[in-house]
Amino acid sequence: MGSVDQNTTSNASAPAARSQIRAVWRRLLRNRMAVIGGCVVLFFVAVAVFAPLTAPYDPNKPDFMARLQGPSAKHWLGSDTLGRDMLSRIMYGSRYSLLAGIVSVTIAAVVGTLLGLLSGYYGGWVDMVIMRLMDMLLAFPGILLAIAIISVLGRGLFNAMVSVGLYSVPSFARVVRSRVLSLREQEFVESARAIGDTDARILFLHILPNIMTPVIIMSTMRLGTTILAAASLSFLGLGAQPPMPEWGAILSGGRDVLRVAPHIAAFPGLAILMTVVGFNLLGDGVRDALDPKLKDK
Amino acid sequence: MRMPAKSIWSLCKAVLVVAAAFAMVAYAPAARADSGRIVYAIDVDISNLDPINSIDPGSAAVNQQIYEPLVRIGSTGEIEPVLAESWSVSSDKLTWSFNLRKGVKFQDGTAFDAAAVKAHFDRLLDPKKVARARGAFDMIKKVDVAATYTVKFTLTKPYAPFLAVMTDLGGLICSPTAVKKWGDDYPFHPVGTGPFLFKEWMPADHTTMTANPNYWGGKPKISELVFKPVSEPSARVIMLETGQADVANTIMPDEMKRLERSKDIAISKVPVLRGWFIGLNVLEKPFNDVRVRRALNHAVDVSVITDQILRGTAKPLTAPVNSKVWGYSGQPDYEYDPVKAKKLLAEAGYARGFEANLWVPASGAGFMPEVPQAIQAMLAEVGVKIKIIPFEMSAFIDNIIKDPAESKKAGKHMVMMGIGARTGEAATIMDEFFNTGSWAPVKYNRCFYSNKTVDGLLEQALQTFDQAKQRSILSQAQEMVWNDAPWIFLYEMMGIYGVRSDVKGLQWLASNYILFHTAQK
Repeated sequence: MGSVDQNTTSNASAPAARSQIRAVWRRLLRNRMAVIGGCVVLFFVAVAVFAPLTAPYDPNKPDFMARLQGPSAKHWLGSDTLGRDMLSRIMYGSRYSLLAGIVSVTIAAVVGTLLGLLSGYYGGWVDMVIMRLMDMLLAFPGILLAIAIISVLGRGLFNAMVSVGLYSVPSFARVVRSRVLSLREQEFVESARAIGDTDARILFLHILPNIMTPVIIMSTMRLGTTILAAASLSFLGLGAQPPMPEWGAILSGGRDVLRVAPHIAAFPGLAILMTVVGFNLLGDGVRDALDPKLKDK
Repeated sequence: MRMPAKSIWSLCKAVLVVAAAFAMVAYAPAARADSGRIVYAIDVDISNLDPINSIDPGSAAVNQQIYEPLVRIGSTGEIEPVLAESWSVSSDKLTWSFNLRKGVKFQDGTAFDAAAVKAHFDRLLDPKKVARARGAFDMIKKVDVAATYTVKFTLTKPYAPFLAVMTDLGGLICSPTAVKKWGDDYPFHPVGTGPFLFKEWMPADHTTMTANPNYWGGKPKISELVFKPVSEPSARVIMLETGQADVANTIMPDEMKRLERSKDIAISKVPVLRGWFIGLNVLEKPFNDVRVRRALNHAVDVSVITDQILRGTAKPLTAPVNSKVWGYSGQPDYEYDPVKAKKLLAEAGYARGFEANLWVPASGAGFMPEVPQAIQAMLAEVGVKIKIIPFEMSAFIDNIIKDPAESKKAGKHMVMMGIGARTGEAATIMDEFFNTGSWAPVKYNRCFYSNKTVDGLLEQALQTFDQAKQRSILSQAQEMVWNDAPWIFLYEMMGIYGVRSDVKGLQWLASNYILFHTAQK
């Protein structure tokens, strides 16, 4: 993998870094699909942040006299099986669903990067043990592994985030490791070693900054997947528990009345679809912007 | 390298495929199962086909087809003769004699007689054997063969509702030959006297039975009967609409109206003896305080549940037993009053409410998943935060028959469960749920309710043969239990069944089971 910032170390001059960020930003803005994706993501982030101010109703307050109503002036997206306002639930739901994505990806990125660093830098039996462990995790279909982890941790949205995070660890670890393998033979690492830097200093001050690009790309691209995975777990009843208005959970609550009130499953489904597409488009754009050589291949 | 435009296109394709699949499900031509074969989509799985151990609603539903009891509760709640033709009780009320139907054979050819009945009850009552259905029969001292076709039950004490006890699930008679032949494997080779022969049981998939050509009541008109456990309510409805199932139980009330418009499907609303309640462990905080228990009853608006969520297919419980049960005595309403509930909670020292788990079955016995969610929202209004924990039915039953120590280990919890619909009269039901001697795991007193006066009244009621007197004793006991409120009293339900219009002749029992003997297609 070629990269623009291979020689950026902590010692690189600040103006050069800033101009690079500007270049990346320009490339990102030129990519129309990425801009659309970014706007969708921004929209949902805004909805999540301002939900308490803008939601028309309390998302958990039932109105039993107004069950299963279709969209109307009073309830823009209709009401659910307990007569709760769907719009408010979906607005509040964006908080849980986005949070699920962000927390899972953060867990995966932090743990995966750490394991990848150790594995690539030390090689030998450390590499052997870590990578075989990662291969074992990769051998399971993702969602099944997440279900297995939940059966140990117990149901709940936080546990769903952890399990989705854990099953995403290997992909980070592998990418980081392969990057570290090539970096550790580079001259700047050798010279750092020659002047007596400790392994920790070399890993975190010299190598880590140079692998941030793929980690950022991976993280953005994984966000859509993890949101979807967390929603799937909630749909199966393993993630968010009632009455939490997480999107997967709302969708699940609508499946029994799919033929009578299809809007209950449709709207959260649409919200999941839009967010996932948004993050994927944005992720593609970020990758192209950070790593233009990749795009040319 | 994947381009964004490409990924959008592949996404569109995926959406189209899913949409097409949905369309196919919705408009698939009704592929009807062969005539002579009835498929019943039931809301719960089967766990054990040996009647001495099957107290779960799924296994019991199958057992009703394979086995028969001496007497049974019919569709109106009256006790009807089945394998016994007549019965009498001795003057000291300690011995009951049943004259058995002659000429009945078990499906394996073994003759049905007094020896077979004795063998069955000896096995049920053998303390060395695991028999979950035993509790209900613990007043039986011994069973004797009086003549080839007369069997005599000697009791430890006079027991007025003994006939009602004999209708219970453990009283379905097994072939002694088959029990001996298969030993521990018997639950997989059940043999009874019923209209259907057991053919195959694939756990979580199906149980198949075929017509018993030698059935004493006449050969069934259908040749094959299949029970398919389907826990998802919408999946049962789809099976019914596409003709993959002929009968489905526990139709969601929300779907009822839509199905009633269909010319292919009829909805049957069957009044059954079952009721639903939430049991509170009175030994543990905060449920040890009667003010908390009453507060919870005032905090739940049961009429909203019955009228809005269950759309009129249920009505609020007005006593600790279903109103169609013999001996029922109506009590004054715990009116819905969240303000009063909050006040009571504050008096008990829970002004800010508390948190607890609510255990529910995932599916089965007519359980409707929206009900606990509504209760969760109602209790939240008075500051009681509950977390709903669903259990698959057999795990649910395992968990609710734990003793007080085990129950304490499980943390602060309430249990949403059904009142047995099995015996059809109040004395046995009250005894099972409220007598101190019936604490789980012996019987179903899962609240560990204990009131000396109630215990005395129940003992008295069980031994009182004068019906008017028994009724008045039962009425006192119901009043006390109602005021002590070991339960959040919920509702009595109807069985809601969807039936394809070409299926006729189903017999609905008040115990919420279907008999398929006279079914036609």
